[in-house]
Amino acid sequence: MKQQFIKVCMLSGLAMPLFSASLLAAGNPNPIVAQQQQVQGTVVDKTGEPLIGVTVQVVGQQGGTVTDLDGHYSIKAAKGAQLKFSYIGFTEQVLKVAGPQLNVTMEDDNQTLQEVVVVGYGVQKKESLTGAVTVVDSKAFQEKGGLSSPLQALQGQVPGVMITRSSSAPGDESWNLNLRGSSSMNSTEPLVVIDGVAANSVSEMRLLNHDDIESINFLKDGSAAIYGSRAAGGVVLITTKKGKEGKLQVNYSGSATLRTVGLMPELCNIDQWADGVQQALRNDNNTSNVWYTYAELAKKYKGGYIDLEKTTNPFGNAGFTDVKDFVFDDNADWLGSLFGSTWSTNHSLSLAGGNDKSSYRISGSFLYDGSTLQYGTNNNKRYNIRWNYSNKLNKIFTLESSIAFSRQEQVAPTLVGSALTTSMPMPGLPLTTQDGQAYAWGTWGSPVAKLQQGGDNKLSVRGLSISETLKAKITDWLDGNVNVGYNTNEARRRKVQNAITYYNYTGTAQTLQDPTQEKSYFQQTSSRTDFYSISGFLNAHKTFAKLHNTSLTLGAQYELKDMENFGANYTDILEGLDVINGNGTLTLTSDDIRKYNYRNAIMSYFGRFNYDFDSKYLLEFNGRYDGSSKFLPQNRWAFFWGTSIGWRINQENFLKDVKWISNLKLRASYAEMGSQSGIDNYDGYQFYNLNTTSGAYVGSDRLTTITTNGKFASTTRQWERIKNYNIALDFGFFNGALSGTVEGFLKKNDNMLVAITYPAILGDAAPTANSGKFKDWGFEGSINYNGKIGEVQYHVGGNITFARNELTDYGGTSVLKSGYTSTQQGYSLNSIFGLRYGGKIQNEEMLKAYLAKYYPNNGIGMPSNLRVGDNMYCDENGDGVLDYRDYIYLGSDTPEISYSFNAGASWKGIDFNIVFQGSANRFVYRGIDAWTVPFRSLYTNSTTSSIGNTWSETNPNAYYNPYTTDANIVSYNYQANSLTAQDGRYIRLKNITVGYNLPTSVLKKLGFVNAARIYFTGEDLWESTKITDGWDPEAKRNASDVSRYPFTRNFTFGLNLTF
Amino acid sequence: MKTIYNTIKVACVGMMAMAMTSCLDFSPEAQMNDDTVWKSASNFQLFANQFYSYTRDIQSGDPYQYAVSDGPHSDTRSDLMAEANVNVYSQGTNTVPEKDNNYTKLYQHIYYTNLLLKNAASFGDQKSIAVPVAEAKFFRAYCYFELVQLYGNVILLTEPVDIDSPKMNAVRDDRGLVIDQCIQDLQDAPMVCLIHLLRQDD
Repeated sequence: MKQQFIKVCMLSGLAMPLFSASLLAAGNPNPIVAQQQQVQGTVVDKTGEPLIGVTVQVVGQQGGTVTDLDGHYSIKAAKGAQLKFSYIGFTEQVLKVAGPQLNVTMEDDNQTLQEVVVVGYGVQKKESLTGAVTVVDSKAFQEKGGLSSPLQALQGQVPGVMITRSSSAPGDESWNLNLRGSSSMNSTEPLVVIDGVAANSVSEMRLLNHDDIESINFLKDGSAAIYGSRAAGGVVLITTKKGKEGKLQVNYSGSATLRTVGLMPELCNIDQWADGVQQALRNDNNTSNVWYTYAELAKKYKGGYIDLEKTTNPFGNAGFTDVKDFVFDDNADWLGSLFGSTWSTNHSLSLAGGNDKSSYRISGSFLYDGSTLQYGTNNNKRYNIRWNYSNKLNKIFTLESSIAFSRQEQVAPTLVGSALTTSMPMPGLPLTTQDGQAYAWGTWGSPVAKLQQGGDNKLSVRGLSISETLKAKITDWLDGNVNVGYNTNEARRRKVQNAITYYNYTGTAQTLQDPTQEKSYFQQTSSRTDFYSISGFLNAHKTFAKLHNTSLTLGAQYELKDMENFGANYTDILEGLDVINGNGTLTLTSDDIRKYNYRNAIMSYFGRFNYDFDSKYLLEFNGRYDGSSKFLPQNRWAFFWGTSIGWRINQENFLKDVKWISNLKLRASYAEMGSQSGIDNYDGYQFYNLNTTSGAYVGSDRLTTITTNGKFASTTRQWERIKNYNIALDFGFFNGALSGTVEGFLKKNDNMLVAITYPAILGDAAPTANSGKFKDWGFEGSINYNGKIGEVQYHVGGNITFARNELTDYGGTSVLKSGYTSTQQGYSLNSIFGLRYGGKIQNEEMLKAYLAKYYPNNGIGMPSNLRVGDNMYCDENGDGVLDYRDYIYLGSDTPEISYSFNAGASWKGIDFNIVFQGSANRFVYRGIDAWTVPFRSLYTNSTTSSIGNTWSETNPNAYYNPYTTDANIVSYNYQANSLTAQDGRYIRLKNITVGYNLPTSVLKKLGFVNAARIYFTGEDLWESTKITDGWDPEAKRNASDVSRYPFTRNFTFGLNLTF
Repeated sequence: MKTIYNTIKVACVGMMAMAMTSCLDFSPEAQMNDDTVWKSASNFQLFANQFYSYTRDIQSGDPYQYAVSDGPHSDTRSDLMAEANVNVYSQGTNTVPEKDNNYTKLYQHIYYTNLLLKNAASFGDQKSIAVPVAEAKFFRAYCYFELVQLYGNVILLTEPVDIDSPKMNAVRDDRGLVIDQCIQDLQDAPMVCLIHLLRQDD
């Protein structure tokens, strides 16, 4: 009932009156003043260029005029009246009419825009900011083509913000964001707040139209503590574009992007494969193997085929008795042919305008993302509509309303995971039968059939977000703010898996049915998230004795999230129906239903106090008292806080006269912030399951039982608490032309939730407890320079972030395991351990000596039949035995360094921009599979990366060992070591843009267009990497399913028009 | 203006409601928990049903349940059985293991019986849950008997313990004390079970 009441309160009680008020209220016309004269003039910008479309109004009167293509205006106004000139991007000017001529030079608004920074629950002047807040403005998202998420445009661009991706599959890009590394071994996502209302997760950013974003602010240190229990991963504040005073302005931007396949491993063709297989068998002294003969046959009949329905099997009974043909089609590539070029488009249109009472901005956009996958239906569409409206109700109140709707429709083949694997058969098998049907050889079904006939996996997401803010200027020192937010998100997935029947090459005989009709299914799931937020705060600000500037904010917030989930699976379906159906068994997706039907809420009281003395010495304190429904009442409430100080050195008397220093600020902060990660929605509750298939047999049937879910419910758990330290220096020289920031940070988590082993008398598995320790530290820096030579304006800049973490205390063992380990005490998360590579065995003598010394008692899987060309490893600890004690730290799978640098220039209407982006200190160990180890098994295809790069006497330092199918040798050679843990550093040409603004003289002829711009952008066009196995350096270590899509090179052509 | 004042009024009322009522007490509605399970006598019986799989038998899938491979009376612990490898028990070279599935499993089973008994204590109609309670006591005794045969002295727990309980690191109780508890449980249990059986015969 309580929740119901609040919901009703929030929706009907608050939102509706606010909403209707915003619709109904409008300005009152004022009477027109007599004795008017014609005033005219020209409006230009700083450089003297005439400005078109500047709104000119007589203050206190309705209507007005706008400047024409030459910047001319003409308006009737009384002498002594005031004229107001307003234009987006420029500071508004009010001038008194003194005569018939009034020329105006508009000042860029950038300065004033930048001076105020949105922080949690309010804004702060940039000069008095003491926290680590980086602001990205709307320019960052312009001319980037269609963006699957705004994060796509920010990769490497923002110091302290590390952005990674894992796929290029449309709609499945999985853009991941972390601010300054990790803060716990339990995942701690940054909190994303859109126009004052929290989003569910970072991935919700993918539903935003990037053209709607005015700014994104990253709160990286103690300044985020005002968000208390969710601030541990940092906070991302997104502000959407609002309408501005002025005449209606229509903006259109459209782009088309050609996406071509970038780096991807290549599979061998028939000759390469046959040579490799024969080489492997020769190395193994196994040339009598049928695959040796098969390889011979493949080379001989390349391009042809043998139909076993018409000829006898050349192998007789020796092998391949279960197949219907041998096809040696050298053009069929079961990997390369699957991918090709594709197109994406993005269109957005916005209308904005307003007067001194109200302003509006309405925008819509459409994004279509095609897939590089050439078979099956695979694409992603996104539709966005946003309506932002602001209305001055009276002298005190302003109502800001923001309503956004988004819809995403994504389709992908259901069997994409089974089509894209490392396990591909030998080359030669065709993609389809001669008559275009599904082809299979033995149990190898063609990926084309899987993609085309296997069924579609359709996701449909609809989101609606409403944010209504009532701002009040109660007195000149007291402001109020009430915000009501509501987000609803509905996702529906319909996943169909059809039965597939495969045929032989001639299409005359059935070879395989997989999946069978009984295994075909229709799975329909839907989930709905409702999020309600209500917050209010008061801000008092006053200056005492002209020196002591103070500001105090106090507020409260309640947020409720309600999630519903339902899904069912029906087997043995009728193909072609678009709704759940079947003749087989109908089951509920019970696990998801249990997991995703929940409710949680946070109630908070927060505040911030700012003090500065003479704009020299700055102090801030902020805090939040949070209560979360996730915890039991006794553990529920906790106080989180942050404090920071700043010293504006350039304001000191001894530097005031130093003209070339325009900004010099030293900042430091400390905060204690919370994390809810690792805590389920109902902590402290014991859960039970009903089982019908696991009880004891009594009579002929099993007993139905209720059992616990196997997890012990603890009543002692608390929030993780992260201590956050930051120290920074901001600088600006030569009137701001050269500016930058250097920051150092440290995050310590001393009560991380970790799994602890308890005595078995506890009964069920113990819950994680607050007894782990974790630390993350690093630095970041950025530097920018803007200059001008003649008519050429140019800028150069760059930034770098380094973040390293250490799992100080995990309560676990310190014994190292070979390979990738996500949690190893004393090391970074996601580390790789293994042996130090000691070169390859070059000759028989070395082999003998190595085996004699290290084979006895070795604990690293060294086989006795080791050969020349295989690896040698180092005895790190010098005890004469090679075992786990010789494992060393090979690096982290998460990049520790992220950087980028950029340069650009503009001359007249032409501009040019270039961005390089890279990361380093990442090592990739992919384990042992058919792609990492060439010719490990005879019946699968290998990648071409080993060709010309295997050991031989003439190539003694090759990466690959001589081919073998001996599993023991393979496991020994390709285990994690300093050679197989590849250096994942890269640098790539992230972005290159060339744009041209059409000159006014051309636009004049067009008449109705105020500004026009065409541009070309290339993304990811070039890279340099040390990865040797063909993968993109950004690809995941264990890429599977959609993360096997190759990253793309994008060529975007775009057009922006302003009317 | 009226709209504005109304809005403010509603906002204030909303804020007051927010501050005064606790909007943070949610209970899981999609998962069975203590509040839903221990409400009906039939659920006690369903929970007690799992105890019947505590007996060792010849199900080979589960090493604990497979009486041939382990358990206090398993043949491998006798000196009668020889396998391809030397039987450490018959050779007398068996060592104290670091982990013992018997120990873990038996205490898990004891925890479940204790969990039922703890919740039974606060249940209203004791008569209706007499059978599951008796079953819990019988199987608790059964499990302790197995433990005592394997370990001698063991920690005696008659109710579930939390992770911060001093019992977690307690010294093992004397086997006499444990067996006394077993006898007590058995004296409480079989009469009820017998009555239950007699009733079913009616």
